[in-house]
Amino acid sequence: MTGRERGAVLAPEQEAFAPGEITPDQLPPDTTPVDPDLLETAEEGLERRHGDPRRVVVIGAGLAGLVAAFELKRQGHRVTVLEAQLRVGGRIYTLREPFAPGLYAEAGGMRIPRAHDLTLRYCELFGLPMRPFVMGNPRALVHLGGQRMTKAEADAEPGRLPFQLDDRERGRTADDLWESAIGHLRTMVARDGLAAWDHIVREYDQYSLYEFLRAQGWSNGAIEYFTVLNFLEADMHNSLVEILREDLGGAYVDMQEIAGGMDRLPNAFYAQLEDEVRFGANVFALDQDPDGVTVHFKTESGRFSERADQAVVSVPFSVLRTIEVVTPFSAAKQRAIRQLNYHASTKVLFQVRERIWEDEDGILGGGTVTELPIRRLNYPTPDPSTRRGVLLASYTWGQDALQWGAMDEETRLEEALDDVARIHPRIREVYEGGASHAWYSDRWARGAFAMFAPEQQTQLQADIVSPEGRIHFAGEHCSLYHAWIQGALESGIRAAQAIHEAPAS
Amino acid sequence: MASPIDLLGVLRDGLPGRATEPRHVVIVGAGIAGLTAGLLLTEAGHRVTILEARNRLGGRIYTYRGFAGRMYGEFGAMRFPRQHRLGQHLIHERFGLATTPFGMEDQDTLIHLGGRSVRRSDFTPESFDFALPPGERGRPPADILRDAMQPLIDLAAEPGGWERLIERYDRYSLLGFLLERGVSEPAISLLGPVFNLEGRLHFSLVEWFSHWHEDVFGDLEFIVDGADTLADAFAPALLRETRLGAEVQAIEQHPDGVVVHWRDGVGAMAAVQADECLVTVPFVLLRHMEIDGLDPDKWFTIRNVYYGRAHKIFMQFSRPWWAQDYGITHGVTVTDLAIRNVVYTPAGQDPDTGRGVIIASYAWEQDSMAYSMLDEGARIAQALQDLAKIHPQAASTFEFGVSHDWALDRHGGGIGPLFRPFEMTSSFYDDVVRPVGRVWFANDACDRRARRWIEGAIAAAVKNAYAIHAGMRDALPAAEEHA
Repeated sequence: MTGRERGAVLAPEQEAFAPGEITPDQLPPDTTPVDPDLLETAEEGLERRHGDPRRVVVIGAGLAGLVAAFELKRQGHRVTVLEAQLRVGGRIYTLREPFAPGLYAEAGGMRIPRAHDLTLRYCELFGLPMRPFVMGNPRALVHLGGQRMTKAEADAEPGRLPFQLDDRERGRTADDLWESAIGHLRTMVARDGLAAWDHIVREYDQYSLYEFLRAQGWSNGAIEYFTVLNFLEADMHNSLVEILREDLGGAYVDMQEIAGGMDRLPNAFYAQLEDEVRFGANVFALDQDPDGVTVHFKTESGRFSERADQAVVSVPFSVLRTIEVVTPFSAAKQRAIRQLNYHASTKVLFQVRERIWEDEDGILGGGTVTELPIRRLNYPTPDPSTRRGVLLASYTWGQDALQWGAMDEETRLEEALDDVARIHPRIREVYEGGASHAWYSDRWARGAFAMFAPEQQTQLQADIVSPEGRIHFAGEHCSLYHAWIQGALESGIRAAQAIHEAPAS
Repeated sequence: MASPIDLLGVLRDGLPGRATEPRHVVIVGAGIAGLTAGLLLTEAGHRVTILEARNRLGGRIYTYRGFAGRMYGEFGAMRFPRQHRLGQHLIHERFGLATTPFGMEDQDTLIHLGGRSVRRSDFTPESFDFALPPGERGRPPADILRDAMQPLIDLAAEPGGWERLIERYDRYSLLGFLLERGVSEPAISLLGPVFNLEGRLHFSLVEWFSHWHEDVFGDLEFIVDGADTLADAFAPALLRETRLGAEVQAIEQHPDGVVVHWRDGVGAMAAVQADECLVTVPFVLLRHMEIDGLDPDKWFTIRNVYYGRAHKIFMQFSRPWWAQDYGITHGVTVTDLAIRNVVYTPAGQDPDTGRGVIIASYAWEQDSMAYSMLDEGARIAQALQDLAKIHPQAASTFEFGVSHDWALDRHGGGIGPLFRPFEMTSSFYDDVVRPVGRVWFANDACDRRARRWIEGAIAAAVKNAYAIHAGMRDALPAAEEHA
């Protein structure tokens, strides 16, 4: 018996394709799988129902755990949140130390796209002030092969970039090439919404981005051009569908940040859950029996356990992997936990006494791209109250991030300074100090976020999200918004909903 | 094209002829590739300077000797296939090191899944509930795998089979191919742990296939006194020419030579001028070096050669219970627990101590991640907890544990290069091995047939040493690709 034919689905002419119908700058239609009723949860809470309040233990006080606890408490359930660290937020991590008073930077999640409605609803619920997060700044730089130019110049004259393109590719921008390859899918999603995604997953889940582009006949130069400019080079061997989902879902369109720091969102949840959160609680085992769930944890002062009717496990699968599950999960769940691919990410941050890029290059926010090891710079949102600022001097994924992660902090800062100085030669004059965070080596994260390898959505997704008896799962990895707050919130609400609606035992 | 050179002949007999114009060659890295090239060039009358960031020779040949008595643990290379002729030549003929078989199959080892252990000798697909569909139910797992691979087996048997395998199948990951062949997901769940495929599913089909088909793991040996004795065997010839603790920062290329800049452990910079520079460290480390004159395609491959993440956790026990209680003398127990693979290494034992040492966990990629961020104490404790679920004796006999995580080893850059789909074809691969001006590249990524093995590193070293000696420029000699 032969399985699927590879390559058969790739000819774009097979699909109705009207090039240029939708441009990448337009806000995409609402293609998100967030149900409308889920969206209302932020304002209205879960649907009211009668029944005894449940005792629920939530493992992890990242946004998934927090929203689950918050919504369950709103419905009168008795919640305990066990968090190993002494802060909430998980991979939302605003660094205020070691920076000068008033300065901060985001080691983790830093931006929210307009399309992530559920996230924005919770920001609104807590009255958090939002401001634009600049993405595509034409004055930001492209620094490749030792050449420095603005993004606008690079787009106007792609021939200046050091990539060896085929005749039919030459003179076109990376975005233009990409639209030729996937424009028909953009059209299909605009036309058919969720049904289009079923088709896309069925036909394309077998491909990595690299396999897809190669099968489309792209030259290596074009692949390099597109992936370097879009920070995808370290991502090329992950699932194509992940990249499509972000692009066609508008994950980088019209972005915002929370003024004052992204940690204001988890902290706002925490303000409603102060009595429910137990910090410094490192869960090492969990068990369930017909009557309930037992969660064993240790603190620096001893071992304890918490008994409940239901549990929400909101820690990453990479962390769950080393928590003892006394009554084993189903084989399918175990396989999902073992195999789900996690991506590495490292950020290096510089405090500068003067934001030289603003005066010298007129760059007000946005990002610079380079093939140097730092890969990209993100300029902070201009703040007229101070000349200082914190520059995201390097933001890397995958193998790039592992290399940075393997260095000690001093070496990271020194190496990043070398790279930044090639792009902004005066950086050493204004540099005051720095910080960095490698999520791969973060004991409580063990990777930056879930990122499907080819075939994994088809093979694993159902098993990733399904509950095991009284134990429910949440976190960005339990959604199709990998790496995004939206996924954490969506999965957390779903877990809360399942517990809230479960029949009394 | 000139006729292919005989790599074994060159390694055995030396580079042809004495250097008429002796060159000064800086070699970056004192792993097996750097050492082999250094030896050949020195013996042919050239001058070499080896710069090595670590304080030892060997690179990813790394023997840990902190156990009781004469016991040791191989964090890096530990087993050497007898079919690897270049490695065999160095080990036996050149250096006369004593070896013993490193068996991989021991029917007394276990398959431990879902909390239950079954001896390999008792294992059948019915031992665990894999819910195989009717067509696969009852069939030996090895047959399912062989049937899936039949087209490749047939092609490999044809003349020019190797080239045609790459041409035809390079675009496949192992997983993609198994699915296309109609192997069911439950069967893949079965094959994964039994044949240790899970860490390879998303990597190159052809690379995995060639190792499996040629049975690279079928006839292995280890160096009795430890793999580091192979690296140390080069010391008399080369240690004097080696600067340890020298981390290379930049390589300048000029029309008439190179300048290699390095930094010592306290940050002081120094430079050495030479005629040529042979880079033997993993490509992933070159990201953080400045190298003049490399073209964009070369940088593209440097950035994109993928290095696997992996760790080994060794443990010393007060008695060798695996032999005493289970009759296990070698081989591997596989499990779905986080430790994944337990290797009862025949290497590094010292019966006089009454004790024994095993690899409690050897895991790759995603599986390695579960341990990477733990501190050493927590790593050992968690691995021991898992091991005791399979072997309860482990808990009460544990004495000492030590681990090495190659993903976090700054000078290793990972355990070794892995091909991903599309990377074995010439359009990608030629750029991997291609020298650029006076900068040459020889490491274990620079060989298609024996990547990640010392064999691949040695082969690349011989080719590059030959080319430098012969005065070639921007080219390497042709050599047959053989296992």
